[in-house]
Amino acid sequence: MTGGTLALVVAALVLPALWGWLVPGLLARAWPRREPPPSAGAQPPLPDYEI
Amino acid sequence: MDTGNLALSAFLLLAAIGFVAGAIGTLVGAGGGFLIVPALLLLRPEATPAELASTSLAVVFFNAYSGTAAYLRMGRLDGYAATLFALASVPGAALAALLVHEVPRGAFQGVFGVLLLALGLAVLRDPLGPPRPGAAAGRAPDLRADRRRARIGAIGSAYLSSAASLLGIGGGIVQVPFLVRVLAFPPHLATAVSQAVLTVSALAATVVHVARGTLEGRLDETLSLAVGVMMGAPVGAALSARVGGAAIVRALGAALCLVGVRLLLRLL
Repeated sequence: MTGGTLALVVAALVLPALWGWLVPGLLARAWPRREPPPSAGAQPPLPDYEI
Repeated sequence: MDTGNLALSAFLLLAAIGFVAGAIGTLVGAGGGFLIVPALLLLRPEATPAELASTSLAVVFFNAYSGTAAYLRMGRLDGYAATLFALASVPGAALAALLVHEVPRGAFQGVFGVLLLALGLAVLRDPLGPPRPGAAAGRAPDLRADRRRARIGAIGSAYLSSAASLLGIGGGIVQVPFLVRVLAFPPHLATAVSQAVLTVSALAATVVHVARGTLEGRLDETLSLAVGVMMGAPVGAALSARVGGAAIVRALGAALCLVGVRLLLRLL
């Protein structure tokens, strides 16, 4: 096994774990959840008059 | 087969193989590599593992791309999960595309064959596994909130993509059971996420193979298969909407056993 092959094997074993550990945090920061606006879902105000 | 000047009959044969691989692959959330590699083994006995893997992965890319587009149109793709696992898969898939030139496949193929066979039998015995929170409701888990599950999924996808890229089979046949059984994705959402992950990981591996010249001289063969898979993928996606979750996972279990036996037989 050459030095290059050994380096590839080590990289193939280590890099996926490191990257897999990092990427959820990075993606969550880059793509945050869009919170609904405070008024979303609220009932429209009723007209203030008497029937 | 003269791959430099493809005859019409050869084109039709390859396109038909691609169509079947595309339809079945998309139906079970895989790229169809598990059907393409054995077909190429029969058609091209002189090809090296790296050549077979590079052709198969290029075709898997076309199939997965076509399937992902179909699932997107159907509104079945969880964009966040797909992006997360696709990003996670890139380094491993690219490294494995380099490694396939260097590492003898015999021992690894035997281990992987046994693993696939065992996983396939487990899935066939109990298609959906124990009920998990979220899966019953038909919703994907919230990976933004559940960072632990997101990390397990990302690391798992990264290693699965590496192993799959090494064998040239894409990896959807392992990715879907992983999403369903470990991360509690409903099967119909897992197949769509798996297709998106395959698109990106197969592209990463194919870019490496093209850069190394592994695909040189076999473009017509690859494109003939790709024409077939791109026609078959929408058929598989449409079929998946009519087949229940347990049936999808059962079909996947049968596919896993098939690949496991094929890999072990190749060692004899």
